[in-house]
Amino acid sequence: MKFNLGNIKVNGSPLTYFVELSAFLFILWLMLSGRMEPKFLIMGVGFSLMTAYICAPFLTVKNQKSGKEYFLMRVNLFKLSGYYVWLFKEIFLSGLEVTKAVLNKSNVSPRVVYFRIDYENPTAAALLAASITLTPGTITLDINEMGVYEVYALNGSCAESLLSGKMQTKIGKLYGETCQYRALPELETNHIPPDTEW
Amino acid sequence: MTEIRCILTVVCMLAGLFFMAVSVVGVRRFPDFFSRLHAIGLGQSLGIGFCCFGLFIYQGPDITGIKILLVLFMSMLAGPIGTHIVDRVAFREGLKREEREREGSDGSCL
Repeated sequence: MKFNLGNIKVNGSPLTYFVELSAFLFILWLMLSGRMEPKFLIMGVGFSLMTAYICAPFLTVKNQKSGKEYFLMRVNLFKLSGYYVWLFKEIFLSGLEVTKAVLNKSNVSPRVVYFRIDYENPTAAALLAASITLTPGTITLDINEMGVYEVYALNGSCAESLLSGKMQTKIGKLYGETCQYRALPELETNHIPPDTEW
Repeated sequence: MTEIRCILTVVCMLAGLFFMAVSVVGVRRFPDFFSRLHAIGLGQSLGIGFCCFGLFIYQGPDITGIKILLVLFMSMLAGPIGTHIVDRVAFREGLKREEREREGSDGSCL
């Protein structure tokens, strides 16, 4: 099996990645079709092999600084589901917080908070940004190349629960990275003064 | 057994509808563009989440139920990307206070 990946460094061999990707696609095929006749199974195997062969080179991401490339879906799926269960709990709790803010009309003091965590794997950075945006009350505005996250938080308690660093270290563990998490309170800015009339 | 399942479904769907309604009210009430994105995110994650989960309970863990969970998973995957694109453009274009000032006291009259 040959991929046109050049001489870049990746985490793991391309062949195992190809097999994993086709297995994943085949399971997806079984879920979506739900038929067990041999004809459909053979078609599923063929199409998942073909799709994996075409798509495997595209499903890599590159770390802009070190130039190292990573496979996008090379992650322990059980740990990922565990992380998602924790994330749903977190979404529910901060959703209640935002609901309170909407109905009370009082505890809204929007602010931009900053923290720094420099993942080696770009997938981890993207997953962290998506998780922050998915959690009600916090939105990722930007990530720069130093790994500094700009996050727009609705009020103080939303910002605190994010800056406690639980989510960041959990994602670090998920991708097996040991990097330093640091909140940057000196950069914090208030866009809107707390005594805004609305 | 069926009754318990139906009750759970109704409770989940009502919770989802409640969060969507709160999200709509929040879009009307919040002062500026970014806070409104927070309100939209509430309906997007909790509203759709509860509705899909209620449908999953009603359907049971068969092939259609798994498809409903896939819909939930896909919306969780794609939703933040759209929000992020919108807010990054707004932030880079310097949309910080203009929206709120233009609307004045009229924007918060709910």
